[in-house]
Amino acid sequence: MPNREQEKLPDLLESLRKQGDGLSGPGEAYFEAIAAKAIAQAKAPAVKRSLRTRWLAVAASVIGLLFATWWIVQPAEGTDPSIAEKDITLSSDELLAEINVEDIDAYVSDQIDEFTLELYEEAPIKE
Amino acid sequence: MNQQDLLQALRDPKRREQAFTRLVREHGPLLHRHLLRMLPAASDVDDVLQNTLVKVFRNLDRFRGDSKLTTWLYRIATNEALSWLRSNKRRSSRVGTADLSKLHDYQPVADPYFDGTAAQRELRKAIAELPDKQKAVFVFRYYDELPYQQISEITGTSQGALKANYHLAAKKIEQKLRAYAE
Repeated sequence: MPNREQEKLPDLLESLRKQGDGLSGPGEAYFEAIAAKAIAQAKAPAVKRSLRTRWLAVAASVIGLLFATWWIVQPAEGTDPSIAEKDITLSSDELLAEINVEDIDAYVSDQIDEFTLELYEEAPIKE
Repeated sequence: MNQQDLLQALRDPKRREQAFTRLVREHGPLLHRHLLRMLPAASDVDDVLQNTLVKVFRNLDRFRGDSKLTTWLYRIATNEALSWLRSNKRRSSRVGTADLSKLHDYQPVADPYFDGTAAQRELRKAIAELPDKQKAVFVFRYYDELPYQQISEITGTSQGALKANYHLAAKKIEQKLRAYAE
């Protein structure tokens, strides 16, 4: 379909155009088969969700969400609910008072390597 | 059967399927060739052509004949091809393996519909590396020699932008071909 607005192409591209694209096409049977497949696919009913199905999906999502919420907030297995409740109501000073001195010393001894000289230097001398 | 008769038959529910098969027989080769030029592999062409034809069949009532039938068919096929290329890029980037240009190196050899020369294969590779829309413009103009007016109707792009794109594409391809020749 040549037309008047054809611009001048570089010689290399112009000569290649004359050679064509080197492509061939399938036979008539291919097009008849693909037309039949396209008609069958086009006529197949689209998957539509009925109102009932949609409500069921919403209900299932809500139940799932409630279950997940319950599962996340439930106390760990074997935990006495009264203890968990008590922990929440205690202040940090009260909690600290419940730990004995040996445990605190053992913890400090275990962690002492992580202190650095800079931290010692910055720490106020109380004694 | 001319276009008007074919359109009448396509609008008649009793004759629609037969007319559609005729339409595919007459215009299918044109669309197939166009998709072969746009897409990297023949197997992709089968899928994209089928999707195109499904859309054509479902929208036959919407085609009012304002434009040429081929323009309408080209528009649907080109949109399908561009959309396929976009989703293919997304898939490739998700997988993280694909350098499409490297894949293109091997496609023409493996393509059952390609039986061209080495130069034609290099041209095909160079076209495959163009940005998708530029590729469509180049293919329409270079191979099909469609007027800019019709390409504008197909792609929904202004004629000025089409001319600039075609010029740019031709320049890029020429550079690649020269590099190959040297």
